[in-house]
Amino acid sequence: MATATTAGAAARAPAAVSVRSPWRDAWRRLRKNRMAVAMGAIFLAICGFCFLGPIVAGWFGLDATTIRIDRGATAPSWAHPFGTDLLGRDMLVRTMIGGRIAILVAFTATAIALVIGVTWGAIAAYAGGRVDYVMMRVVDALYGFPTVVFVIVVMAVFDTKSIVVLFALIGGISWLNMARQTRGQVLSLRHREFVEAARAVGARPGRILFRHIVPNALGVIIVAATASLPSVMLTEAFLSFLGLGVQAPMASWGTLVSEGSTQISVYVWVLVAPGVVMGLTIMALNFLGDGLRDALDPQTRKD
Amino acid sequence: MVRLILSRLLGGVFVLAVVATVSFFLLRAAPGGPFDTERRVPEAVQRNIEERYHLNDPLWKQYTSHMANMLVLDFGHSMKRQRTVNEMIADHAPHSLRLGLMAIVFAAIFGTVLGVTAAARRNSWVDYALMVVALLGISVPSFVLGPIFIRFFALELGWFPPARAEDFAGYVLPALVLGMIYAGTVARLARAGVLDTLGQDYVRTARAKGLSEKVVVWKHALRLGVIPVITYLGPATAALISGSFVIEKIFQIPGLGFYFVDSVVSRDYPVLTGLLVFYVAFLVLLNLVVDILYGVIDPRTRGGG
Amino acid sequence: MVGAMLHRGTTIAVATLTAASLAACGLPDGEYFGHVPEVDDPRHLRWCNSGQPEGLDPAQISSTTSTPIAHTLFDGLTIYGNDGHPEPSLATSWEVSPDDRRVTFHMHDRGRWSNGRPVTAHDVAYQIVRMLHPLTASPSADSLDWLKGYEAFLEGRGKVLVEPAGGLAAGTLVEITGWSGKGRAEHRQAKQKQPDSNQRTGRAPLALRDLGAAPAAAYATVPAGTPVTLVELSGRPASPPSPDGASWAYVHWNRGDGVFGWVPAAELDGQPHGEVSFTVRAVAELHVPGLDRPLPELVAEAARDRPEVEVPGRALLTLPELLGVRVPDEWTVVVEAAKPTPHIVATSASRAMRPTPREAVSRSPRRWAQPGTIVSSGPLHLVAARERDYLELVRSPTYWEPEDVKLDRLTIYSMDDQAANANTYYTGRCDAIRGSNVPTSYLPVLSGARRGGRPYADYRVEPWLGVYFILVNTKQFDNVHLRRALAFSLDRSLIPRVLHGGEYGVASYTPGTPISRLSDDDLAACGVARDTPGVALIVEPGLCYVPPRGLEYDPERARQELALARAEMGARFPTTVVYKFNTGVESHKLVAEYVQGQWKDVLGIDVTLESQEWQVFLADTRKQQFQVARLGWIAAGSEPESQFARLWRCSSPNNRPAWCNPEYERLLDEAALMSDRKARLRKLAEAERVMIEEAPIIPLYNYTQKHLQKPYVRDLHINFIDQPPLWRAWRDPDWRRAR
Repeated sequence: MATATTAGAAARAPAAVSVRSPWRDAWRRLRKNRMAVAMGAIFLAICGFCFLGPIVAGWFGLDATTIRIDRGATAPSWAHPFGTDLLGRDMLVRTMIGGRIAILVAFTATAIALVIGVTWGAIAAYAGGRVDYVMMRVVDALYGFPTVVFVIVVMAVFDTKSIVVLFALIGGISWLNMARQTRGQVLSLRHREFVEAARAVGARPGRILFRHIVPNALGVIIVAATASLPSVMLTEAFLSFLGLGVQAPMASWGTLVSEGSTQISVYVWVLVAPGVVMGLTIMALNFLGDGLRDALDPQTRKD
Repeated sequence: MVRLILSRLLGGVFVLAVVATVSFFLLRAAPGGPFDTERRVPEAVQRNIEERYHLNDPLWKQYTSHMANMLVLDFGHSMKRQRTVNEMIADHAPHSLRLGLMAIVFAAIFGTVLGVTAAARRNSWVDYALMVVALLGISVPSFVLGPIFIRFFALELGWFPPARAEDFAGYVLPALVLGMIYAGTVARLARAGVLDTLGQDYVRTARAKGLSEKVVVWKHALRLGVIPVITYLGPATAALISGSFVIEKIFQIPGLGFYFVDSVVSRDYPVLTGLLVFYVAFLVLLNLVVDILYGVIDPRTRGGG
Repeated sequence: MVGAMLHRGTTIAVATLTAASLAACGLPDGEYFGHVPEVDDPRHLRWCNSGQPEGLDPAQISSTTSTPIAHTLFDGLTIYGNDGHPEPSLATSWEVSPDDRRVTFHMHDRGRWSNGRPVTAHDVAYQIVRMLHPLTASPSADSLDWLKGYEAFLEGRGKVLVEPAGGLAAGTLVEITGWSGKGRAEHRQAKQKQPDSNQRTGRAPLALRDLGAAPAAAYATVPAGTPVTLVELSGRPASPPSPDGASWAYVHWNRGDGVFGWVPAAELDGQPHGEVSFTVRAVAELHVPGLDRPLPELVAEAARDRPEVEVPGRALLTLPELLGVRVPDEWTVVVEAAKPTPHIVATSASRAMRPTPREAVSRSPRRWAQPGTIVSSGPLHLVAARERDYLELVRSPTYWEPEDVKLDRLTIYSMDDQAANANTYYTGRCDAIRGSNVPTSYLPVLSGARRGGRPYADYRVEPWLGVYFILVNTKQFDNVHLRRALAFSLDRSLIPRVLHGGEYGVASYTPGTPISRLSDDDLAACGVARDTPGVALIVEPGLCYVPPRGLEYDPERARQELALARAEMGARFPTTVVYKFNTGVESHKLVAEYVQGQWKDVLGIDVTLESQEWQVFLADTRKQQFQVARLGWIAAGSEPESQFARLWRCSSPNNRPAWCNPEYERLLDEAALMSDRKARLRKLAEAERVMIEEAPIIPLYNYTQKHLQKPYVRDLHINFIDQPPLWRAWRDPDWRRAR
């Protein structure tokens, strides 16, 4: 979704006229990659499952929050295709709802990372010199900090379980790679003819950077963004494992899976349902990301 | 080369200082302290404890003395355990190291084989199937994969112990789970790397000489194709050696990784700072080693420095 | 094509799902949970503990994980017996004064440290002093808070006059009220520390050594002029006698982790704060042997103002005798409390009074309790350890009662992950799992609820002296009807169905054993009928405490109270309730969701759950930043007043609900002066009723210990305070025949 909109923005950018045909090439190449297409379809299907599924399930009287202590955990059945958890809640709908949150977290956090990372990297590269040096050393320092430790500490400091903070935090730690990639790309584009041309007609640096250079670096950025989606999902899952994920009774795949992992010896379905769907999603995003890179990344274009 | 090393080391020291400072102040900003328990001690006792650990000194004083001690590699004493941070690193890093090395060797071999085979049979069903296997480790969180492996290989088949790495057998399961995470990335990098080199002149030459595709891929393309793998494995090794919280918790391995999270959770200030500094120092050094190795493997980068 | 692929993807997913569910439809069925290996060595037990002990030094530990190990390594005047009540060990007998304030312990001379030295009364006194000395900073110092000079000693405010000054005789106990012309409070406001009159320097280097040793045997040498802190002087009432007639001083040198040692007192010729002028006041002598005057009179006497006098720093010393500990001879130790204290003997079994070896502690105060340096006195001795992995204990060759030790070797696994513990047990790699260290999600299966009512034969549930309750912040929920409504609306009988661990759902506060499960003797002591619902606490054999029943489930009354609350509170009536709990324990979340459901069903109140990391949770609840929150309280002893009732006193640091009730204070104050045990417990029950009716806390259930023990394990006694005498356990190779 994010890729579609950014690609659209690129197509509208006047300076991107010269690269329009590479975009079409990329799309053609992507379509030829059967695995990437299949995985993209799976991903869309899972999105549909998560965002529309609960509505459909509602018609059958299933919801994610009704607690039935007397029932407890039951194995999958026709009434509850994914079974129920320890408190007797339906796992099918919980998996769907969990997916909504997991997908939302992944996209929001990636969007945040994208904005920070691209801006940071582009400015560093374009300004060059001492500014570049300082900005990149900051990135280095943050890179050295184990991200998860950072998140745990910050979450403890702010002591908030607001999901917005969770988005922002994960986004706030995933932008480093984006910044490095953008910088590299912008460095190589900085002295290209169309940039010189824009400079010659007196365009301001901000305009040159974000209207001319960044759209041309989009390929790399899209690839980096797609690659960060799965890792964001895993980060969220890890935080849930530590009990720092979304609050009960809300649940994400991360919380469901981490709960399920403690019950594997007793109620396997509590792990299997969200685990398989989550694993499939992450795998789909990974393949999609690889496909996009093959299609967009200029380095592999010669193949 | 010497200049490169020096400038990298200088940058490393800067990063270390930042990490130490940030972790020092950040964790102290978090609510609660190392001596908070549900059974609150009377104020006089609390004061004595804080006195003992200099927690009632002004923050700047705590900071400067802690930094001064770290300069002489004294990371301080744990506030929750009867040991110094130096001892903790010395005791626990070897376990993480052993586990990490096993995992990285597994990841490097398994990942490269998968990746290169996939590249050789690119866009076939073999390629897809291999990549699905490779990506399993990065698609399923290790805290899911771990219990599944334990359930199957330890409880049902009884091949390996379910926890506690007493001997080599005890390390197998955790190393597999840990290695799977990295094998996925290695496989992708190797596949992409080999695909990349397959289009290059010297490989074309090799092909033109009539060498079989197998020899071309495994001998010629592999050599340059694994460069991204090495670039990746360097920092990954640092991360592995500093341990993995999840694996060390699930398999109950007395490694360092556990303490990265535990020190935050229990507000053991000196331990977190000490571990982070140790980890970052390791990271910086390994990155440097990788850069040097890079020059050895790929002569083209030597001149460019 | 996309459609086909999609189809394929879903097929894979469904197939994996089914396969996985089939492959794992519950663990293999059987009589026992997992494998029962053959017993190779009957005298070797492998015990899965609940995690890594934070230490083994009795003065530095506080967690349930480490205490049973410390109690195995270090002998005591009394020790926890099979039933959890103290039984004599180093002490052969004791006398309790009629006013319940003083206990004289008589010791036998057979106790030995693992280095061969006898365990004497001086070792006991040393441990008590060490527990309370500011330099030790023990987190469990307050378990000795009944000692006479406790607070003054802990704060360094109490002193002994070592020479006559200001008109007071030498030996008078005084407390400092100020110095250099200003009061303590003023100094404290200005953040000025009290000058330490115990500080000393030596003109020559000080050779720190064991008492009476030659200077050449020193293990540390303090440079000339470096200040040290004087801790004890030989020959004083609580200290060992001088070996050579000269006075010796036990000092602390603040170097690295610190080091203690003896030096001839004459070598300490410098006194940095000797000329500071202190204002002091004599401490009331509460001790009157045999209570020849009524106690209230004595208390009034103690409270009377005493004149302040000026004395120089050199006349003042903080010395152990301030604490009310005396060692009349090598085999007798006397401890004295400020007020009648029924649990002195019980405390003598706790870590606070387990003697520690001075020679080892002195050399390395913070790290002596490790393999290689540890000197122990208990049935087993520590020989190897690896953090987060294992501890290896072997039979101590010097233990005075070898017949009592059934084990040659005890391996303790320090695994913090519950699933890892259960899996290790399952594969037969450990023989028993520490109580309540089995994953919550396993309980329905272990207890048989998921196996057609057939529990595993090696699974056991035993009472545990702990209570799980909800804290209500009375600053925010200041309306008593609101709190009562919350309490009345919880159907505790559902709790076993939520947790599956045999938990005993009760509305009463002080925990105990379900009355239906008491022995006939205990039942008689309690004076209740067997069919009485609720629990009773056996304080000591023959003495029983039955807590008042509490606000039990009554939806009708709950709604009435809620209506009252709504009428009284008006606009302040909360629209939602936020329930806080801490992460890290599976069952807290289950309980939270149960409470959420109950309050919604019965009262129609929406409850928001908020989980917090443990340290944040503790900090928030301490600062009253919560509405309602969970908490559990596990007792370290069986005396209900010190273990439970005092939590809710106004001044208690643990009073998280910030509840303060004059009636409750009065009743507890009255109880504190009573030396008739039964009358005292009756008074306590009155106080507890006041508290429970006001509902600053809402009890939910009594804890249970969930155990797994392989069928060949014998005599691993699980008792209600979770202090198993580990050394008495063994493994029976012929267990199959024995059945």
